[in-house]
Amino acid sequence: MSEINHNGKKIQIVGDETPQKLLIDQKEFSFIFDNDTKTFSSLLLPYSRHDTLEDLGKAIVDNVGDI
Amino acid sequence: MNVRKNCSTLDSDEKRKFVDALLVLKSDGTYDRFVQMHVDAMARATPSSVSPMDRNAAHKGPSFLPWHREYLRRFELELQRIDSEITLPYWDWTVDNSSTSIIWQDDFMGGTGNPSNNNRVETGPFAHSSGDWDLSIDGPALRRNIGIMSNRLPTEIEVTNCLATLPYDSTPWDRTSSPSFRNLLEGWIGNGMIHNRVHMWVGGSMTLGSSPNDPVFFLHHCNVDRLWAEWQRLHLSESYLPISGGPEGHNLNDQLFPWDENTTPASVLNFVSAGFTYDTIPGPPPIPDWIRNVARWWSERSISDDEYVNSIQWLIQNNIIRL
Repeated sequence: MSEINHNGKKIQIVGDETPQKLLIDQKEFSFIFDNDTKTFSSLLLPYSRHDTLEDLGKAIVDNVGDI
Repeated sequence: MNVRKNCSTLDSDEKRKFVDALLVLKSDGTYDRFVQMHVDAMARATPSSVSPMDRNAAHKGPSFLPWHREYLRRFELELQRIDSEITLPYWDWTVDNSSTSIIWQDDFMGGTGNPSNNNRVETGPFAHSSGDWDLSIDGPALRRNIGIMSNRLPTEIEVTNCLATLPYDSTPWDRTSSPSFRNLLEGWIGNGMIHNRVHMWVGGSMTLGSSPNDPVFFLHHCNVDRLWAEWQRLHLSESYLPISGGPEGHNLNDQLFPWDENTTPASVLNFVSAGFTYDTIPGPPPIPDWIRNVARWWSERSISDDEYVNSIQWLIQNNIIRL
């Protein structure tokens, strides 16, 4: 498990191998892993893809507002 | 004919009229209906057997450009209900490419959000504190996070390369299609990530399915539509694809959700017939004198019907007559 604090929120990546879980302040967020591009994306952020689950978590914190 | 102009060329009166009309549409509920329409299209998988993340009624497929052209035109007509002289302005982000560009001034779109207040926009007419811009979806406040999720906007070179790309689209008609003008412009292939990058660069509300909550959405998509219009002008012999056999809602004559059966990709291809053009699109070339001569000779029965029809066909082929 990895854990970082980002702009006042705790982002946790649970599990070292797929399927991992993305938690932000203990709340789980679903995501999609694209095998073709090796990127992570979320229905919450329909215009973007992210190289790591941690980057996706940071983008959710920064852009999705009250989560 | 409505001519859509670069937002950086609007004078203070034109900017004020545009902003005022947006505020009227917000107050009477029209604006939020447009936001909901975009959210609904984003959630409508096409076909229903796939995830809307793979392809939906308005994104990640060939109808990305027709759907947004229709959406923008309907929105523009609503603005013109308030003030008939308004046309949608476009934001050329290859030129106005910084957080200090004219578009972000307080008399127009306002600036970026306050990072210590959840990236809420606190300046300009759409600041929540103004009391005029309360979001009914993903609110309550408009948020921006300019330059954080993406540190740059698309460049002129990336746009030029995109405009040279053929064909319009290709199988499997989704975010993996290549070569594909549509997919390069939408931003799922290529380093430019053109349309998507702009959503990411603005950040905040613009990164969500409810992105039209930010009025800059319409200026951004107006520029995307302008680029499609430029591509159409540059490649007159290239057709919209797929004509048939593609995913539901994305073929040339498929109904665009949520509009009626007469609203299809085919129905929006000729933007001039729809009543608008852009200040960067040249008008049709002048009619050459030989056409006048042919018309006169035909009326005098000096030449055959076939010769006269040939001259009409020439006018169509050279985009002087648009069907």
